[in-house]
Amino acid sequence: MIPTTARTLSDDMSKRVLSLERLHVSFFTDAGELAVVRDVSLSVSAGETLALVGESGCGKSVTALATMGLLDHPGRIVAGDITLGDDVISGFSEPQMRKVRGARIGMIFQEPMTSLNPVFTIGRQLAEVLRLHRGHDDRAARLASLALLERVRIPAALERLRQYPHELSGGMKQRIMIAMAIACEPQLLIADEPTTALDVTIQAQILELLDELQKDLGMAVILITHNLGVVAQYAQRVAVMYAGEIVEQAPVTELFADPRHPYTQALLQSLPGTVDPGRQLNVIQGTVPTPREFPAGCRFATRCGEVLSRCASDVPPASRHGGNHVFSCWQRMESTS
Amino acid sequence: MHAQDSSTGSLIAHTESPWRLFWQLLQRDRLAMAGLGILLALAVVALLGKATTEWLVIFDPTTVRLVDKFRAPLSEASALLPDADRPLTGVYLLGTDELGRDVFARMLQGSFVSMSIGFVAVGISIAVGVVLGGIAGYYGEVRIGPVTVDTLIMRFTDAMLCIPIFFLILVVVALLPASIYNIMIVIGLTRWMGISRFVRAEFLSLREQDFVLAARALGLPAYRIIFWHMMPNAMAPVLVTATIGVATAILTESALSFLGFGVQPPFATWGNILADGKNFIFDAPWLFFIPGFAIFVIVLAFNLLGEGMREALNPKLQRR
Repeated sequence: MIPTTARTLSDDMSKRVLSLERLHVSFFTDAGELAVVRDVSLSVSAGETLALVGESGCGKSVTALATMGLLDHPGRIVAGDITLGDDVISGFSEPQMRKVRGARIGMIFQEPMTSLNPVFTIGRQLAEVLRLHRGHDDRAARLASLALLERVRIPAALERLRQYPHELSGGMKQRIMIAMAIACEPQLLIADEPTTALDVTIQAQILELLDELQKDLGMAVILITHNLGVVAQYAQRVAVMYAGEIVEQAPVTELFADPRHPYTQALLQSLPGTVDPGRQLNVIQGTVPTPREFPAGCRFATRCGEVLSRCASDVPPASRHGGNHVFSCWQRMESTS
Repeated sequence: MHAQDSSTGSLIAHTESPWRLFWQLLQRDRLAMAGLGILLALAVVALLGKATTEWLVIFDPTTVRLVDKFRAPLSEASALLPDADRPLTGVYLLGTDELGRDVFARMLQGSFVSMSIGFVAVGISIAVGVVLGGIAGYYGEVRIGPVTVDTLIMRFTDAMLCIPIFFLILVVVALLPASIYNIMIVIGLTRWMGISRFVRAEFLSLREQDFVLAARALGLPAYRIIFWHMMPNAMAPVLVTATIGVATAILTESALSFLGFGVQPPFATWGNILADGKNFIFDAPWLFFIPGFAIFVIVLAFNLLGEGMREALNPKLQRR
């Protein structure tokens, strides 16, 4: 087994929309540098959905924000490249990034209830994006907003444009957020836990809508979630993150059928349904270490059941398993080779 | 509630903006509405006063009539007066002062000056307070050298708060020519600290809200996020403070005029009418009480309205 740079993960290079290459993000606090995201490489192609899964605080959202150029002080990209289409956007200035955000990358958030400005009507908020990136005048923006609302299946669109966010339900607001995110037909849509705050029936509708829009627009989608059920249904590929690192990346079917990394295995085994009813579910012992306590080597070393002596000190390289399956684990690397 | 999501839009209520909700709540507060009514009436009086004493002189505040000194309110003009100097109806509605000037005309003229000083001064302090508070709140963590923007701006605010403002104004007014504009500017530039603190506090909580992140994710420039998206959400306490601030500014101007540092003659303001009147308080009490009462009414009206707005903007009451 040869360690690879994760570059070659996606098969079709020409359709690649976004790639992160060896991305490191640190937060510079008074207590020193916290390496929150370490050596993250991933890519998505047009029409493809990449699911980014992991526990809360594992760096999924930080990775997404870094991609958008929205990391707040004291966070900063310390190494690595972010490439969107042919542009290395990690080197872009803020004014350049503003032309990327909303136009070439759309983003939707976890909390639709608070993601819209409470003092403006839906119509004004939608029109603002169109005016900004498309240079529409009022009339053109209005027509385009109507078309967008219909596109995200909002009934009585004309009336909705005049309404304020507090008059709409959570599912409706999330549809409007989606409409705003796709207003300029972006190449990439980042959905940061888009359904976590919604109830189950609405979740399915929203995900179906995203799926459909993706097919229509040929967008690449990064779906951030901790719901493995959602992953299985809507993603083509999965990247599993743990403590700021991608521990395993594979096509969906392969990841569920043949997980390599002990963390992925433990995660899948802890799902309900893996043990007989009435018996206790499997758990992963311990908690995710805080960034201050990250081990120098494999960050899962403190909780791993199959830890080797070198795990705590040496960072495991990415190894390939089959065509598109990459993972980082000393134990598995040695047992397969 | 989520179940309505997929239903057709048959249940759409009429649109209610947050401002309309606020207005509906405010309308229930009788004292606030009384305050608003008085203020609107006074605003009309002030505009009419400007028009009828300066542009189209119906009431002349400057005519000196030495034969008609210290006439009590509602007394008739002396028959000795030349026709050109007679007041409009031949009656001094609010009496005359020590130079025989018509107090009603002077009060009319003064109402515009006093109110415009109040509004312009507050306008200046809102502009300064909102910009400084907004920048401190939004760019709080950004460092300039060893200190953060927030520290820089807010410590400056604290420093301004430490200065006894009234004496600062006295010093500045003593050094500058005491024109209306200088007084407006001086009062405005020394009363913004409360507003900048409010706005900063609001911005600190707004900055963490998802809609701000969403606006950034749409590629909006920072100035647009600060002034277009965040500011309206931070305006509620500012409005309340500003309303009460107009009253304070009018009082400050009156106090300055009373001490002789305010707007200088021949411009009449309620403050300097009051100041002139104090010398004759026993001989001609109306010279003292009429402007005093006017100041009392306008300050009370602004305070009632401000309190009412504070109540109406209280989210606990909005739920009903």
